Amino acid sequence: MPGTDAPGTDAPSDGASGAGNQSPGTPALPAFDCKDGNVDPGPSPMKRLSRSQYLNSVRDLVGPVSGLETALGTSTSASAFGLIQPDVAQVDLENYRNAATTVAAQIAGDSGALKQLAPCADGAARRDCAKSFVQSFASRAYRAKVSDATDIERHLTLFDAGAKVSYAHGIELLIQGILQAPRFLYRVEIGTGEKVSDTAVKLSPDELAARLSYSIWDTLPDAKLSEAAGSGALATKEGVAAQLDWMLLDAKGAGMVRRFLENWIHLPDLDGVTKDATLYPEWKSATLKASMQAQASAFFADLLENRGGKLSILLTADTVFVNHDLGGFYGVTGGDAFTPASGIAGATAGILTLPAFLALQAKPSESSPIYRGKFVREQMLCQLLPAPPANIPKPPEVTPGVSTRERLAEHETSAACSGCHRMMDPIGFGFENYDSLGRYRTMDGSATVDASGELISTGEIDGKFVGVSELGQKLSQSETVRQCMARQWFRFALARFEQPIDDCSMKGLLDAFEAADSDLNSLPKAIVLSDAFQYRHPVDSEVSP
Amino acid sequence: MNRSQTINSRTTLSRRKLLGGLGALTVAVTSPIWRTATAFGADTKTAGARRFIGVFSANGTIAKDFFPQNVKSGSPLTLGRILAPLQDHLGQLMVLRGVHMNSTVQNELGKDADATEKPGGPHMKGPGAMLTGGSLQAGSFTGSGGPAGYADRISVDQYIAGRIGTNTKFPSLEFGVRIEGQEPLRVISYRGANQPNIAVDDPWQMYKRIFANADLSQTELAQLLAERKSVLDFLSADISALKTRVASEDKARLDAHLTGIRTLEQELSQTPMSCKAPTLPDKVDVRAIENFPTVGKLQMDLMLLAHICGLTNVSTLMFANADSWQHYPWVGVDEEHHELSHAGDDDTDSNEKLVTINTWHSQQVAYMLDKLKATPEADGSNMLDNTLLLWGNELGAGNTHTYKDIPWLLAGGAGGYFKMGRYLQFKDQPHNNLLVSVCNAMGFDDVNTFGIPGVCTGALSGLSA
Repeated sequence: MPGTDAPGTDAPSDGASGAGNQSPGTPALPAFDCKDGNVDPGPSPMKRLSRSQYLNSVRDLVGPVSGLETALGTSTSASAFGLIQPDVAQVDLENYRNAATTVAAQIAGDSGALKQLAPCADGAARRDCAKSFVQSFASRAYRAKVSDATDIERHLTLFDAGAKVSYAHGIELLIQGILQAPRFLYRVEIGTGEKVSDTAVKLSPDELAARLSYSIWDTLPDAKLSEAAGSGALATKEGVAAQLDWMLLDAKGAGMVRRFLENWIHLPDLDGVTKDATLYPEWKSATLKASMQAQASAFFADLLENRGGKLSILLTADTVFVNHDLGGFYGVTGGDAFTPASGIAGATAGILTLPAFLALQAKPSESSPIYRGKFVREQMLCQLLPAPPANIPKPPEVTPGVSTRERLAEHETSAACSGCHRMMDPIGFGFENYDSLGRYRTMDGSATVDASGELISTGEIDGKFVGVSELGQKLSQSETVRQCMARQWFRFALARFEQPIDDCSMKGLLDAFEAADSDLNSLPKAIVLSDAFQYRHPVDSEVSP
Repeated sequence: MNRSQTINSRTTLSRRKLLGGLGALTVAVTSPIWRTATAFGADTKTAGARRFIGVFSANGTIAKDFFPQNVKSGSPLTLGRILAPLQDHLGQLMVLRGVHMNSTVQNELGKDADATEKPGGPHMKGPGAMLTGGSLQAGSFTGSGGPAGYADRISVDQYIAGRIGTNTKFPSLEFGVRIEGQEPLRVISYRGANQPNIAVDDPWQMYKRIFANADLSQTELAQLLAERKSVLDFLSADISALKTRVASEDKARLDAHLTGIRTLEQELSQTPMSCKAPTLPDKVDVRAIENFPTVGKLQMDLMLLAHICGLTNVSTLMFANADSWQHYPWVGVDEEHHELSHAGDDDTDSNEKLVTINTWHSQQVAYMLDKLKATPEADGSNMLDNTLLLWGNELGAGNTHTYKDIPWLLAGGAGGYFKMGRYLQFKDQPHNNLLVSVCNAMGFDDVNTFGIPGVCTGALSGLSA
């Protein structure tokens, strides 16, 4: 599918290979190898705020800013889950400058906002007011107390430059500078001197608070969390984990697992998906894509809030949410709001039969057993597929009236293709009851749909199946899928690939997930309790490049 | 000037002009600016600045309609159907055949690499290699084969920009037209390993970058620049202080950030441009398939204006991402380019459509050459005489995904370095050698290798005059 990348495939850019992904032919993922007492948090490179983190952070710092999204531009297109972190591009820096300028101008031009953020009583020394502003605002923006005198003085040079014009303008330049500073744009972590092991030190309370807030809320810490950090409540693992009890209830946190599932299937990318306008004129509808996205979100929310968050239900639920736009998909009349329905033909395997998922994993004018099979293989089983060869043989000519399945038969007979395609196509054939838009069908062109498929190289669930319902049943019983979910969650929550060094963190995560009977709601606390989340390598142990 | 006046002046600057002032500008991009334009800044004694423009289009070509047929290497150039729109510039074109992107399949020793050493599908590898002479790093991008990351080294446009780009406002500018989907399909320009120069495919956004503040008075501009300088000074100092505290891998990222900040400083230190900023037409949806030609024209105009106005001497333009699924209904091909490109050689109907698509791209290149030629330099030459335009592709042909016989077109006078107007057929040369020749043509005689050293064997022979 155009427009996706794969958080499921595992190849960190430093060349170190993750533990889990196996070459085709290897039956299942190996168990995590955790030696007792080995505390190693793995690498934690500095990460740049994602676009949503940037926007959320600015919103929480100063409130809504008109024109901010436009000023920020659209150049940055990071990998899903932020797994690839390229160095900052020139156009990003220009966008950051424009966005910071926009924010600063709005504050400086609004006396109420200015008074609230940078109050200065009549007769007070304005530079002292600016100093207080730096201490409060920059500390929030940087997620770390700004108290060093040199640091504060460096900031005040900005105020001095602007204050030649006015107090407001001095504050304006300060905001411009702070919002372009690396401590705002990157999640900087240094750690403390407090050793947990030879390869692990504790994070500072502020750093832990930032990890919590960006992981769970996708934004910076609020006053309550900062207060917890300041009071010593984050001094222990349990203390850190205890914050989840209220953070997940906060509106910002309630959707964390849902956000994970949405990003896992690339749901936001549906906006950019193009379909053949002649075959599918309904794709031009102004609301169809949004309805498909909302339908997926409604399913995830229901699963997590009302159905115990069970992985098995994610893969086998026959509940589907229908509104007016999507009624036609199921031959029913939907209302304005989404209402749950069940027992509908084609809506039988939870996430696997969500039209949004199926439309994302399809071609513009037809289904795609390859994309769908690839998603299952890479994202649900965490098994890596090699790239296609550089010089592929010419594909067969397309004959009208021939089904998608028949056309792909070449992959089975050609030795050059079958090595990889047998890992994908036979899984994807199970989805042939769904067209390019994800609508249920029993005919593909003039042929009756044959939705028989086969799983190979998966370990315990190998075997033939018919249709996506049976596929969902098989996947829901797979240890490999459970382990893969734990891996995906790790990647999402920490924005990096797991590595062999993380096996203890991974084992703890998987054990907790299984102890909770594969309840996805158990994942936030499980990751927060992991060494990978709690600690970092000591800065002085890093090897120079 | 009293205090309140100063505040007013600043308020005017930041609220109306800086943020929302585009409506105040007057000259349309389609206006007679082209007829009157003279390359900026040169006096009659000095030759025009050397310029480099890299152009990308996707999914390979149809070889029999791109390359001259039954012609010996070194012959005067004759144009097949795809390049026919460039006939007016015949004397300033060179078509190269037999120049392959070996860096996508060969390792540091110049030997065929194991597949695991060269991550990514063919459509991904092509854009990463086209200007870098390198290959992709490991990574998690898929969607067109894979997985892979970004390219592993600097691209030739950025190398050139590093040497001649320091006295223009922008060392380089990266343009795109509907570059969609996922990395690394959207990037041909790299500052270094894992340093993609992501192109902007929205002309309205690009306009704001290039012509920002063009309507400010000298006084307003001076104040703005002074303040920006203060901010950049602060950021430099702040980064330096932070660097002493973080882990070494984070230091490297901060260094890259700091380099970018220095480039922003360069924007400030250059003389304000003398060009009058054009006005863009009303905004259109840059993501819509049918607006591809409109957006393409605007991007070409902005890119050429940036060159003409002396704002940059180096640029790249991507017509769609690699693996492009663009449709071309305005020339009667309302089908997906990538799907079409898989058609077999004997599928004449599909091949005709691919010729139509590639011919349209060739018309776009002709448009750029026309405009460059119509722009006189102060010394009496025209801008095309001093420009080297390199048009490449991620593949040789879509239906085999071959990295061989990339449809390379060199265009422009290149300051007289190349003997243009010819067709050259090589025997299996790595395109790294072409990139060396490009550097030589830009005046860098000291360059004798580019990209992966083991793949490169030195400049292509027989190109120069």
